[in-house]
Amino acid sequence: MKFKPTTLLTKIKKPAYLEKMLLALLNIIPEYYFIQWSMGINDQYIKLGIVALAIVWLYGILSKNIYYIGFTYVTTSIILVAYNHDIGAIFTMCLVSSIWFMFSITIVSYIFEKGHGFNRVFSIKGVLITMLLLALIYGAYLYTAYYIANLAYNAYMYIISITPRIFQGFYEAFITTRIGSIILLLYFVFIVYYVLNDYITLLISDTVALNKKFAINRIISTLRNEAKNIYIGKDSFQKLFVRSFFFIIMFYLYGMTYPLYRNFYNFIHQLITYLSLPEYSVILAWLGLLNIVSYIVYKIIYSRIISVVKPSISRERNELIKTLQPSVWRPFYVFLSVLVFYVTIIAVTSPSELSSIIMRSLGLSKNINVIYQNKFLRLLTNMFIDYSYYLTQWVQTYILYIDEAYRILTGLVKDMIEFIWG
Amino acid sequence: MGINLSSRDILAPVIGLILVGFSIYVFLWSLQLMIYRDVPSSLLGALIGFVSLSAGESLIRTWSLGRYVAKEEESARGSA
Repeated sequence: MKFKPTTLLTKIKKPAYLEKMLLALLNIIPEYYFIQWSMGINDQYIKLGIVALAIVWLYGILSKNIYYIGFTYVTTSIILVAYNHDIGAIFTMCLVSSIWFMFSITIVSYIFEKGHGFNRVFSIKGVLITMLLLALIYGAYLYTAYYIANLAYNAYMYIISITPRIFQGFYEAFITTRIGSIILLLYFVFIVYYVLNDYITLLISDTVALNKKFAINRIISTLRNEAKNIYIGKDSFQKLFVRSFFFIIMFYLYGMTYPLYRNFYNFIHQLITYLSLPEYSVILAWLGLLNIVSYIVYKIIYSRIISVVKPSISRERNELIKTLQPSVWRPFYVFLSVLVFYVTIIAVTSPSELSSIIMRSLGLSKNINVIYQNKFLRLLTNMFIDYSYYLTQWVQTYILYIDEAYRILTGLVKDMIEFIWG
Repeated sequence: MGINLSSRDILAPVIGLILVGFSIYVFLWSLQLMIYRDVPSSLLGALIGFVSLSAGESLIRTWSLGRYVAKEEESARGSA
């Protein structure tokens, strides 16, 4: 089959612009509503910020990047909620428009990039085939995803019955509420989507449009690409695995570091009242801190988790020796230098008691009741005993804080979900 | 293909194991000293324990690494 380009096509030289224009048109309505709502806020800086966010949105559309779009929607929603807009309506809008953006990216890229689309779209036969394929494929996606999500739901219900309380709260918030099951369903929709999109959709469209030889070549090149992606850790499944693990790790890490955040929040609050800045700068500083910390943690954790699902290939022998040899003896040198430092301090402050300390530390002298004459050694003893005493108290308060953090977090997630979706 | 183990080869891991055992002894004794509230000696004991533990561990690791290299070289020579 051969499709001849129409006159419309010959006029538009670069289809990439057309594609982005269509994407922008499909997504302009949610962004328009966001901007319209936020223009009601009587604050010049916030209005400037909204304009900057609109530019970020445009950049996200032009580069077809989900992260920029999501950032825009979420940040605008947070600002709107901070200025007393209805939480339910705003967050529903945010969620729906994000999902719509992802869906429209799929549609646009399917029409313009995948397979043989560009020529086909502008002929009636091509439109029909495309619509049919889309309907069939998305029907298959939804059915398969629904089936897998049902299975996963039953498995999670079993897990809930055997896991401790903190995990239970987390699962409950995600499974037993309506949005939780919707998120789960979406998650599986995306998994199935990745499979079908990467392996089957292209194949169908190529086989329909072209000949068998091309389809076979496509299979081989897909397999080759897949092997390469798995090796460098950029396979979709590896990424999904890492991100879902990352989400769970972040959930618990937030509780662990909650005391630090709490102290920092108080500090920012005091600083801002001292400088007499507006109230929302607390929220901005807070968001900035969270962004920086989560970026650093993400970078640290991502490489750790991806190494689990990445195949390791043994390196050259000499290279192995070269990289391992210095690192093997490193802890020894570190501890040795600390030991030398400590012994030197004791030797300088009280040379007369050095030998007895060494004898006692090695267990050669069993003299128990020792009273040190030296001031420094007595100070060290007292400080260490005080430190041990306070350490237990600190640990207790820390654990209390962590418990509070998890209670707040699970409560927050649950309340939010119930408030929005019932 | 067997590897010839001379007495010198076996010496390094044995010393390493002895050092690790010594470090465990010193750690336990340092705990006991902490109960007696003899803090300076206890800290010194813990430090000595860490030094001997890391030394023993590094000795064993270099030994096993060397064995691996020897095995690789032998197999490379055998195949060539």
